[in-house]
Amino acid sequence: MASPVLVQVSGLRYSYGERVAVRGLSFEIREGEILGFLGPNGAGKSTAISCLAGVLGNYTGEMSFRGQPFRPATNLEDRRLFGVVPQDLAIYESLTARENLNFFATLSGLAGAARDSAVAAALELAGLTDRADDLASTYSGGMKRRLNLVIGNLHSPSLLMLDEPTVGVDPQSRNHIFETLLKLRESGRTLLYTTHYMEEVQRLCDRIAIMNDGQVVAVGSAAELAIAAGTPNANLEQVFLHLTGRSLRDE
Amino acid sequence: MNLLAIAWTIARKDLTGYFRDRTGMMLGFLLPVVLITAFGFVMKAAFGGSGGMPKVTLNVIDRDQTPASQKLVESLKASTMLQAKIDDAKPPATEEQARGQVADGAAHHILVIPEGYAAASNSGKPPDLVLIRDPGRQMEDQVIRFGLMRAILESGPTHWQSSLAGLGEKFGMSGPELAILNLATGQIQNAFEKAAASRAADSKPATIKKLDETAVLESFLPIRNEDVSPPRRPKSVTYMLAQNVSGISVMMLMFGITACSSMLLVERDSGAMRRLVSLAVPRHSILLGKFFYAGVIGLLQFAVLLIYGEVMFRVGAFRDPFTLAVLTIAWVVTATTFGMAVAAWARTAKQGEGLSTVLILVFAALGGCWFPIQIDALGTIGQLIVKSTPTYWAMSGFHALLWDQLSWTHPRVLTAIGVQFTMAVGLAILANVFFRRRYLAG
Repeated sequence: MASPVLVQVSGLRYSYGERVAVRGLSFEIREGEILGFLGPNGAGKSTAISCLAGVLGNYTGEMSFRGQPFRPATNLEDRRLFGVVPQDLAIYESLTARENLNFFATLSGLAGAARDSAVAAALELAGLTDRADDLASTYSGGMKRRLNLVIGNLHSPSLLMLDEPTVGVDPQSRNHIFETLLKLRESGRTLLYTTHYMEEVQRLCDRIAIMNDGQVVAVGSAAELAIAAGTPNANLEQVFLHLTGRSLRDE
Repeated sequence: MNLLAIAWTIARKDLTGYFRDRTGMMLGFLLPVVLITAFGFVMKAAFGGSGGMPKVTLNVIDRDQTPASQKLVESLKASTMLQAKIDDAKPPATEEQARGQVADGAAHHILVIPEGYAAASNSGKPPDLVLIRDPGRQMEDQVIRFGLMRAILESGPTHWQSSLAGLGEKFGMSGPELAILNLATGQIQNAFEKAAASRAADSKPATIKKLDETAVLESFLPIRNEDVSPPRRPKSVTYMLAQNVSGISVMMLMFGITACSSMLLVERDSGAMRRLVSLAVPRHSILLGKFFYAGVIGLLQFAVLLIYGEVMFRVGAFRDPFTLAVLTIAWVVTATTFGMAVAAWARTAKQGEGLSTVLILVFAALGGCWFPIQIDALGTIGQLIVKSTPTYWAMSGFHALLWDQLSWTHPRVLTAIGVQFTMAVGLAILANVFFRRRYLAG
């Protein structure tokens, strides 16, 4: 039996001036799953996440959380439900990992023992306990990515949204990030994972939503997508190219 | 968590990063201190003349080399308006050589005391001094002529008589007529000196001890001079020093705060702003946090500058701590909101740096940070432009405190504070509008 729906998005549309980035996007995220957003550059993945995270507000369409209307751009409590791991390294390099975590934990409403505990758990999850008091500027790219990831999870959000969290990291750190995400799923966390790396969604995601030109063109497991695309024996990359075309994309 | 607590959390994070970069922090504090030192000493040297006027260089060639000419030279050296450069060549330069020096630009004014200067003075004839000058240096010429007049008058008691004799010659007086004139002036001189000597022992002694040309000329002017200055103004404070300390402090604070405000751009470019915006905190708390951060740094920088100015130049900045605090807060708040508005407006760091540099330099020049603004000499539009700069009002307040020794209750200080806070409110609104447009698109 399918898990209950955590987030429902219907007909989401967002434009940057004249350029339409998301056009009538509809999808659902189920409790406890990892939903992969797979799409070429400029498909609208980051814009969709920004709308869900409340960073962008002037969208049209409907969003609901556990069946209730959801307006994160204007409602603080709605924003508290989600955690965001931006594609950029949104950490402060002049601070230590512990200071970064303390800062974001405080702004997320954590205080006292709860904050200390959340910070310690995040350091452990990121594998940074031994380097917790070193400046982030001294970290490798992979360490920064891991810190970037656990900051988003500090306040135990109902949904953690990750925007291409493995860009520019070595295989070891990438593997650590995957293991971290799988641990989070095991603990019941729901994840929305955007990437354009096929192997990542195949390894991590329960379901895959293929986005193209601001819309979801297909949703399902890798096998379901292949069948839906009419190419049952094709691999995910072939399905992806079949659904999104072969022309080059510029964001 | 309330709004202020969130804003302070953001500011504290930025302050931690700021103080951790020791080199950057030292530069931020050191640069204004170096500037204020350099300007302070330059101003002291350049405007150390009478009443804060610049001392003008006057080259002097003494071809007479007599005690009388030496007396004139000493009088020129003692002048508070002139920087007398005495030609000590042996033999002294000729008038022709002096003309060559002015023509070459080696000097702009050369006074030649000709041979026979003492003899002419002693014989009751006016001395034939020659001033060779560059006609393009009119400003210096005014100062030199005034300084020369005082020095000549102070160097000899009998010039008024020789001046009258010269006047007699111009009237075409004959030798006997001139002799009568000289006799008469000599008797007048004697009468005054005898009177002064006999009054010396009286309970009401004479206010003038000798009759000279200064006394004669001043008797023609129905003016009684009265010097009035604020009683608490330290003697060590000159007009230009007060100007320099407040001017550099006001200008450099804008630079310092604008640099801090650029943290907004840094965070936007690094992606940290996107994460901050996605947190469950009011959006304006982010801007308020940056305001607190830049404001704290601004207060520290301004305090360091004022303390340094006080220690180095004794400007009496801490005479009235409350007024100083109110003026400081008013300017820090205004400068901070200016920095925030520029940072929020800019799409790139380069845009922000460019606009802020241009505006700060223009504001500094118009507002009187570099040199005093003669506001009454400007037309209506000029006055309007000058008064629309925040620096003008900051300078007005600090000038009132440091030079005029006024306190916060004085209408001039209150106006300066009020206008600054009004501008700060306007700039804060502008910053918020830009922040929403640029940072919270959609």
